[in-house]
Amino acid sequence: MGRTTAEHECLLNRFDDLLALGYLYESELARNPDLGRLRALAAEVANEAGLPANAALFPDQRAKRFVIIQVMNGLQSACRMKAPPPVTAVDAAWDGLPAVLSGRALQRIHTEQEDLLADMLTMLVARLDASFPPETKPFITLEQVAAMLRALRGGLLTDFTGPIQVDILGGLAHQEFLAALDRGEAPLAVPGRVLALVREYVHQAERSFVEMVNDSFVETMVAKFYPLARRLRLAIDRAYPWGALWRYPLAARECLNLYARLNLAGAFRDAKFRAALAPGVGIPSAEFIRWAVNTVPRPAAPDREAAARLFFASDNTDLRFDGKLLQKHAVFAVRYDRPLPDVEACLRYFRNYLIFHRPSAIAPTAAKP
Amino acid sequence: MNADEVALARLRDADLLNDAKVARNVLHDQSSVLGHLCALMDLEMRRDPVHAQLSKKARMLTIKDWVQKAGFDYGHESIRKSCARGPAEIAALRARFTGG
Repeated sequence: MGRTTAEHECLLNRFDDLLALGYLYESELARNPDLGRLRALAAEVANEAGLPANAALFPDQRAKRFVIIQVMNGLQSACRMKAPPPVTAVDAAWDGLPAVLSGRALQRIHTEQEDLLADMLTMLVARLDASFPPETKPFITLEQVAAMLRALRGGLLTDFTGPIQVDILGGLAHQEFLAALDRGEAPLAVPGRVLALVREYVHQAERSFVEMVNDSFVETMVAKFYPLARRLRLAIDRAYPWGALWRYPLAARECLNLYARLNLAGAFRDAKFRAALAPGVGIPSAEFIRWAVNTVPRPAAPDREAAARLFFASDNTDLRFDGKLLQKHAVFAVRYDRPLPDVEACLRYFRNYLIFHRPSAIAPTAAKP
Repeated sequence: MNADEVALARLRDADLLNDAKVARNVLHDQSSVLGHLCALMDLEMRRDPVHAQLSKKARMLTIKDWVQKAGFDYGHESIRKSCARGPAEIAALRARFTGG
């Protein structure tokens, strides 16, 4: 590979990140026992994630690592804000969620009651069709569909006994209703359409359920471990999120072996490298880059990050959209000419930010999954 | 195109190779990678209970052994000089990223 190609520069940058993290981590370990305490805290979170009750939620090591990172970043954010985020109510879009429900149980309900789900969808669409005069049908809103679905459930007019993600089922019914209207056909008239919509609903609802339970786990863990986390004083966390610090970075000897394998593959051409002496097989540069960009964090310069404010509310900032001043709005703004923050984590904090600004609008606590 | 070139093209399309102009924090160019890896191995050995009791000379010899086994012909004196630079690298990084 030529020494000035973007790939070569990218490879060097990834090694630069590996080395910077290694140096800073070693120096922090040598000076500050709190980094060891942070690792111990992460081990406790890992224990919680590994409990049998959570086995279905975090089925493999990758899922477990991911949730540990989310919790550690959540703890860091809570410490910066000097308060743990509130443990929010279970997603109000779910109707009829029992006190205890596992993902597998939800799958079983969906499998066993697929016909009843199809009946409910058919009934919902038929009611929509019958309840509105023809001239208003094109203007039926998602909220009206959701309200009708809740009314059907509340009136015990459907036999489906499981929980329903109202936004998803209502959204699919709404979409189908308007599309059929547009085509000039009766809704759900296309053969196999009902089953296709039910399966799409099941797919989306199960994913939404997992996300909700995952978020709930993260919030609960942050609230539980915040009293311990708030005592930690780290210097390295100005450059890296806690989610990047909870375990040792790749050891230098492993980095050396990676460097040798990249030389063996011709991605690097170190003058000191002797291919005849090298064991193992080469690693393609693309494989290394793909691994590194997802695994090795880049240190953030504190002066740059300190100025980065992400959330803005119209109560204390002038928010204009198309020249018009917005009232009672909050905005999550991200610069796209700089390295992206952890957008998923930011979205969770943004939800808390929204809740903070509209406390009266919090839905009453529903059943815990 | 071979398989690696195809994979690289995909990375380029996914905008994962767009940081070519980013200023590096540790490395100047490829020739400095090996020296920094040696310095980092030395720092890790000092912390690692298995190697912490080794003398400086024994640590250098251990690093030389590891480097040779990985396929590099890097002299003892070069390793010693590289390891001596470790604390200065740390000081510069800490000053920049953690305020000292």
